[in-house]
Amino acid sequence: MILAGGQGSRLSVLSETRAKPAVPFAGQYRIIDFTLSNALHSDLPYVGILTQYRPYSLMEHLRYLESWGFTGRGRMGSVLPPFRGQTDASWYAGTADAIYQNLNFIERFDCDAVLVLSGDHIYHMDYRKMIEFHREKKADLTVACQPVPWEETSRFGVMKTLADSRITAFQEKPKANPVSNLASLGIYVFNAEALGRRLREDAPMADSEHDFGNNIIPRMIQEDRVFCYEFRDYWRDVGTLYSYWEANMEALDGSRGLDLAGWDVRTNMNPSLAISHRPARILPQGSANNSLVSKGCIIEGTVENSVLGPGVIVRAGSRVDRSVILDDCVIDTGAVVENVIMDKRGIIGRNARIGIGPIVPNQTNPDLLSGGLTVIGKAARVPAGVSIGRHCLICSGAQEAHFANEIIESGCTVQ
Amino acid sequence: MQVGDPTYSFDKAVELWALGGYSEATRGFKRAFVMQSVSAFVLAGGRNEGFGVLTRNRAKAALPFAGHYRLIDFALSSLADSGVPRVGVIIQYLPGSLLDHVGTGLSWDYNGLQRRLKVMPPFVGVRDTQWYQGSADALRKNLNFSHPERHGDIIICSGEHVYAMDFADAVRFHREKQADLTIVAVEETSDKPSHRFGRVEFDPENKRVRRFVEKPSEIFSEWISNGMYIFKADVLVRAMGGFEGELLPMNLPKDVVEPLAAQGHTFAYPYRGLWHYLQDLGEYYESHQALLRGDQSILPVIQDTRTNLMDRRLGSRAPACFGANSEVSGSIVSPGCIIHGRVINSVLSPGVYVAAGAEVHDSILLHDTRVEAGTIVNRTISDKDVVISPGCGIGVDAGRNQPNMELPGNAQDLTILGKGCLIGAGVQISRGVQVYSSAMIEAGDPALKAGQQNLATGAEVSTLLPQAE
Repeated sequence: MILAGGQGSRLSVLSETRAKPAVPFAGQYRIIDFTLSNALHSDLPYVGILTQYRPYSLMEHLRYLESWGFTGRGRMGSVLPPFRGQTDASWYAGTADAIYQNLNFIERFDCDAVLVLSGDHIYHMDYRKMIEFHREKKADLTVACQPVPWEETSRFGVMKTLADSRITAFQEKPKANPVSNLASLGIYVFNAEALGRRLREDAPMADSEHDFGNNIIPRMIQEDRVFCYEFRDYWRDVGTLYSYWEANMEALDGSRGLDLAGWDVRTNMNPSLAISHRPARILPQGSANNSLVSKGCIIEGTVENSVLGPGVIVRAGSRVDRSVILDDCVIDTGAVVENVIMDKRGIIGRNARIGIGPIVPNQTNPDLLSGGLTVIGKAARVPAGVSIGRHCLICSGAQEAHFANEIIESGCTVQ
Repeated sequence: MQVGDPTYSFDKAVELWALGGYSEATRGFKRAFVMQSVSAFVLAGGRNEGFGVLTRNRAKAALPFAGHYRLIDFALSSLADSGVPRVGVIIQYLPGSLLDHVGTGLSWDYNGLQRRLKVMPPFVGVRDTQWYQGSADALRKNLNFSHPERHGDIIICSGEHVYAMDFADAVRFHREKQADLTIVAVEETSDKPSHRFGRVEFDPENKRVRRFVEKPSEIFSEWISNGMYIFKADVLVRAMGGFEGELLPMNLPKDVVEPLAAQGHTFAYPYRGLWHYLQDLGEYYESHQALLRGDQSILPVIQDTRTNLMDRRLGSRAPACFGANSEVSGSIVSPGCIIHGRVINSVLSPGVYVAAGAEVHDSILLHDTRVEAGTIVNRTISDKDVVISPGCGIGVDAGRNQPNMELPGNAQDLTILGKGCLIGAGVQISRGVQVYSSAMIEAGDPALKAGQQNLATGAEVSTLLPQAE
């Protein structure tokens, strides 16, 4: 069961019109492709995908999951949106409630173990090894974990374990005094029977948030056999704009743990949905170094340390550096783009300069932007000659009229 | 006018369309109506000798082109975009890779209730016991595929040419003229007239054909037939039964088009759009060079062409990866390529790997070719899955003056590497040399020393039947 309803509000304009799992990543992929490819390569026979927030672009991407091999006899994938029944409320109240409302989907397969996954992480994992561990330990619940820096523990659920990996305490996003720095990766294997029992028990509780981290797991630690499965390989939660950008940079070549080709990550290659099928063209005066270039790109300028989505056009004399540019953007002649995340179909006008200036906090959303990134929303058009500093936020659909000045100072937001 | 409009009628829609009475916005709608009664046959079964080892294991229609396309994509994309609802693909020669590629036609939107694509291999039946004896023979054996009521029109086109053509416009011309047969005519621009095509002479005013001769020795007109025809369905059906006193037609241009053109109601549709015929390796190479130059007479062909990206799971290859010290310029680079060395003026198909310190110049490298460190590749066409080990020089040395008889005249200064061949470390292969599929060439190989121009050592077993790739 893949939880794919997250809003991903810290991704700002990137998740304005799409759920976090549907946010494009590393050129042609979407974030959920990594979890689905893991499910494919781990030979999982059935998957259910729970959607809630802005599911349209996600559902269009998933279709019938044929791109990840969930077709034919014995393999099946279903998208499970919230629904109204005689007793059910219409929306999923929490992660546990989402699974609870779909217990009949799980139980029809008569399985002994249920994986509960999150659709918004970047990693490559063979779930079969974790399931094997789970069975060996005769566990009711196994939680995948990884040590994280102590200062980041407040973003994760952290747990205390015994020498035999049994979990004795679990704190969800502790504000202070974390019990350990061993963080949950949002990958759970439940004993199917225990999962059903605990969810049914939790559902009528009025004081419960119906959340795995806050309610189900702490209770199971007290009463059931809960183990910790340590996963040491590459795993990233791309929940913030900076971590999203950083993970894209780690995808540039296979040496930093994120190996797109080696992992054999699949995406929806449905021809009617794909934006462009042309191979990329690098013209004689163009160049690309340390970069990922998707199909349909045309490069006349200079591209360095960047990820270009399908159909991006980089015109002569322009330069793109340390940036993530999504599908069908145009960087016009002479423009300079540095340290930028740019959503689909944006246009940077001639000789515009983006992402150059001092680093000061963003005025309207100081916590949103860090690391000097400037973010440009979907289909925004930056007029020719405009200069935009760092930590700027250009909202989706911004046009000439929205740019009062030729110079947008660092830290400004253009609505 | 739309379907819900009270003044709407199908006939009026067609009439309006013929008069050009629709706005651009309703193009798709009007096309769907007018093309409803059109079927098409794509001829993709021919054998072609001009491509050396590239067509030893595949039909010409399955030749990879411009990165991840195959030649047949141009026919299927043109038909799909023109709204032709029924397409038959006639195959015969080495159809394996073609079958994999065309599949059910889904990649060109041939699915659903209204749109159908069928692959038509030769077959035996109660009366038919032979291979297809020619284009007309193949059509006759598959005619029942076209519109069952025998009305409407039938397009015949080639699956081996490079083009992006609006057949809807040609069909409109055909119906305006109430033609029995419309021959698509292309003005020959080259100074040297070619003898490979049919030649057509027509009235410049009303476009009525005065004379059509297949591959004539006499140059009587500068208009050539590009192998595309539109027939009234019943006319084609009758013609397939044979003309009085003649044998059953076997060759379409010779036995069907020539006699029909002589009978009168045949018109020529002058086509000035994009169309290229690739005769052999030299032209194949030259057309890729034209693509790299951005030549507008060929570049637009890859704008709207669709291909099947499921085969070899081309669709889910990672974006092309350009290493920190790579140098790529003037090239076409497909997804899945990993480049750490130099690539200049070349076309790379999906999955090509160029190691640091390797150089690729003026070459066409097909799927998953590996070029290892210290190797220089120049003016080379490598088929799929070729491995070139470290320290090789391919196409660097000009080679001997003696022509390679297995390669066409215009490919004598190219090096051709067959599918899956393995070039050992330090091997030097000069221009004009062809390495057979699956051959393993090592330095010091006697054949190499003897200066043989067609290398087939190691695993290559020439007695093996050619296999589909």
